[in-house]
Amino acid sequence: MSDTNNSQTWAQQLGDSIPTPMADEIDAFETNITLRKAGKLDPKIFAEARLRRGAYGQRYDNGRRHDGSKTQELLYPSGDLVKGPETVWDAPGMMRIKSPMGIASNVQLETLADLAEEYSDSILHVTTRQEIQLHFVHIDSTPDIMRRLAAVGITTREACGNSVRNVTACQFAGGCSTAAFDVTPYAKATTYYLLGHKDIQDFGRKFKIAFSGCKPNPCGMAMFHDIGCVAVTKEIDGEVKRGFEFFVGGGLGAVPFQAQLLDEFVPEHELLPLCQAVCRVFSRLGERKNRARARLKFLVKKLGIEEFRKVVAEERETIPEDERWTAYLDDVGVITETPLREGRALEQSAIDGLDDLVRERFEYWRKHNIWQQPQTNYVTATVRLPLGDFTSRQVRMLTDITRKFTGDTVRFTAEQNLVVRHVSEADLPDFYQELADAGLASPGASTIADIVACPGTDTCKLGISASRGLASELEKKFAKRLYQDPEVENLHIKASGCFNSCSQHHVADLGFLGVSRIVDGRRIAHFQFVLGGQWANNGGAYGLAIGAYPSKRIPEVIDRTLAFWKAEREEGEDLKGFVARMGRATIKKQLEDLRKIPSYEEQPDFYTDWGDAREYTIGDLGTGECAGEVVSIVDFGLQDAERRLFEAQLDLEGGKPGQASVAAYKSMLTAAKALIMVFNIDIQEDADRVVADFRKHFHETKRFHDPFAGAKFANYLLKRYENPPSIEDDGLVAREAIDEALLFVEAAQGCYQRMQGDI
Amino acid sequence: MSIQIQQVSVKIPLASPKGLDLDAFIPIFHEWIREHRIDNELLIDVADYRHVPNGPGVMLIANEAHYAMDSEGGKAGLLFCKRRDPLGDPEAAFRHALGQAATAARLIEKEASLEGSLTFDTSRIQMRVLSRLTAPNTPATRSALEPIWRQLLAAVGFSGAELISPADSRQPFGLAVHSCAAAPDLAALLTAL
Repeated sequence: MSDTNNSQTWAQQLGDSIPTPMADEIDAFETNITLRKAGKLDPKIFAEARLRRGAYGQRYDNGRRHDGSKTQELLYPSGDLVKGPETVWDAPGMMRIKSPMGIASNVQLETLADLAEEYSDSILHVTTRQEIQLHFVHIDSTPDIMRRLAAVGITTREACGNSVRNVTACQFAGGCSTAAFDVTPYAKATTYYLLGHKDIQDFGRKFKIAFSGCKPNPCGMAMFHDIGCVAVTKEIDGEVKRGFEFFVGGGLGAVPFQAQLLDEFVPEHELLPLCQAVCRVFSRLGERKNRARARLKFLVKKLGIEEFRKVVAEERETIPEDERWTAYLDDVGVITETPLREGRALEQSAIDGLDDLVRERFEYWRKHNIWQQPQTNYVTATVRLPLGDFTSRQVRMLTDITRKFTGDTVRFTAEQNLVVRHVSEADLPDFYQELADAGLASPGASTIADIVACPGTDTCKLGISASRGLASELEKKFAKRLYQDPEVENLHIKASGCFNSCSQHHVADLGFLGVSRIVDGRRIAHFQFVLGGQWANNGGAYGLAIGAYPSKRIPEVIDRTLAFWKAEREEGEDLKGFVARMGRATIKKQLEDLRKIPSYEEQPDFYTDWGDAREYTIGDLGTGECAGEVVSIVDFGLQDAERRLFEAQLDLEGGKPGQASVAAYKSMLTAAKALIMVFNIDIQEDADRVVADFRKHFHETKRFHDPFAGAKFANYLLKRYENPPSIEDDGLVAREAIDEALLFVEAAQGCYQRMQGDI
Repeated sequence: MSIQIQQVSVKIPLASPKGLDLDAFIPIFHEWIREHRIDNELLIDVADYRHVPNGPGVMLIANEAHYAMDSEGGKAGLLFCKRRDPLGDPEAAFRHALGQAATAARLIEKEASLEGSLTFDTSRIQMRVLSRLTAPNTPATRSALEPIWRQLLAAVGFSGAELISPADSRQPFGLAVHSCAAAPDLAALLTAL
């Protein structure tokens, strides 16, 4: 037994292969685990500590699970020990693993595969921020996971928590003809300059940075990040200089904001100090108490971009010079990713020589999954990963392929896929065949069949509806249809399990976010349908919700919408333009009958969500006739609030932002009034009275508080009441008012459901 | 010093994968959770991986292990994987994994909603030790663990088993029954365990 290591730990076995600072950090985290287990570390402090190491909570980690008929206690062996508030120690959790710019070497991929196999469920999940997540991981396993990652140059530090998250960049960087230049070295320098930097340790919320090589393509998504950098060049004194259009204050989440231009040209040597200055301003002036308003976007909005620009410039002047700001620039021109094989053209004869069925599949795969590189005879191939998942075995097959054809050239993408760069075109048929043997040759990358979905109710604590279940269903549907319907191929579908928009549904052509409704005493999974977003132009436009539809009707909702678009569109009119021209009211009318719910007796499967056999509702409300009457009045009021909200959207669409803003506020008052009816049936439609009663019955009692977001949604109403909307409000204000009202009304629905004892 | 291991998995292939309908396993596994069908396990959730080609299909997640109707390598079967356990005696770890896998497979054979459409072929049973720290995929590990696994197989009714191990050292160490003169059915296997 000389080469088995029974007497060793991973720390001992890996020894010096872990850089000392990383080893020390992980040892410190392991000590925190020991302290928490001994009751010597506050659960809240430990929770933030583990989050900053990438160890996240997961669904059912509060020790409860609804089995379809009742809530069962999950009696984890750790008893009362917790790893954070309401988070049982022994409950399986999620491990988020950073991969800056989505880059992963073969050795790193194989380590990830080992870890997935040993500590998780053999599935590697690619996130929309180009990272990997492992699920069902025990907290006690995390130090060894971190050590094994550190030994191959991967850190989980600041993967979660209030910190600078994984820095993302377009996956084609360095192999893209539309890019001004390769942003990779700049993104990398930013990553490692800010990683663990003292200036980013005291944020009120998370902070996200993205790099894009060009403006028109969506890969980098600079427009919805806290900092978004778009590569540009500028001629200065007869010399072409590199720099960045520098955007700040973008973000999706519950209330999406488009980033604003801070500087149209930041020279490359100013990139790091400017990022640092923005971080310092965020740390100093960002909101701390109210987490719902703590992202940079709210600070930019509060100060205004002019004032924010001024404050950042002043901050920049105070930062001591750091040689790392420019040290990396000496290496910017050095190519670190070289092709393994000579670039050769793909001869038609090689394609003709394929078996008929293989040729057809190969050609279809090539149509969508290949990106032509500017380097002659090289392409980047997208490996489409359904729902972002692949197995440890597939990883090893993939690294066999990349070692044979390309070397270390894999990058994860924001569409939950991965790309293999620098494939010689002549190799494509063989490359494709080997991918197919590994189950990695799904066609239709970046098409309507390539659906992005957050974990939703599968594993996320905040999931309301089964976004992955829906996406899986839609993938099957559209994978079959792609061959027949080229017009819809290039649309994008993104599904989030809740309002937090982890799937980035705001920038999809067809976006969905999970909500729920009660009908006849039973809760039913729904999705809000978001139309009019734009994936192109770095996520250039955000859609607006058109209404909530039952989860099981979403395929029909899509079919109906697309059929209407195809029948009525003007020549060359895309879906976004069509939605703008037709108006949401017209489209909503087309879908009206799809809001109807069949009775439980007629169609019981309607009362389950996709991929789940459990009944979605408890159905044990036990309400008497009197309560039932109140229920119907409240339901009516909530429905009325939704109507007013929709009218607000129409006002905004119709160029009447002031009216939209006022209508959005009214929809919140209407929803609040509906709830108050439970206690005071005579409540009048008077803002002072409604807000006073809302405070008394719902805010002060915390009855309205969201189980996870706390007072966030209640404060939307209270804030608007303190600063009422004006008919003079502009589009930005109106947009925010509508988004907040949408969430408030949804929260009112949730509150009402909870009041009926159906959590 | 005797070897200690952890994280053992056992897969029992289906006799005929033709009858396999993964969709059926979503309600089946949810029912197992609701009714606490498997002893010694805290059953938590069902993970749906039907979209992954040759993947774990539908998975029943327990606190320290998981069960899957797995199709890795195109070979469908019931997979039991221990994700978390202390270092321990190999014979006990093998016996536990074999027992848990056989229990789940037997439950599937008897599952009323499947109407007897699925049976398992114990003569191609596979065992792996996922922990690379305790059992790297090396000849030394095989030398240490094969006799223990063989002894257990013989004790539960296998005879003349020819065992193979994955050649790719990146894979976890494992031993699969390639052929055997006799193998117990699931009921006999469970009785013998």
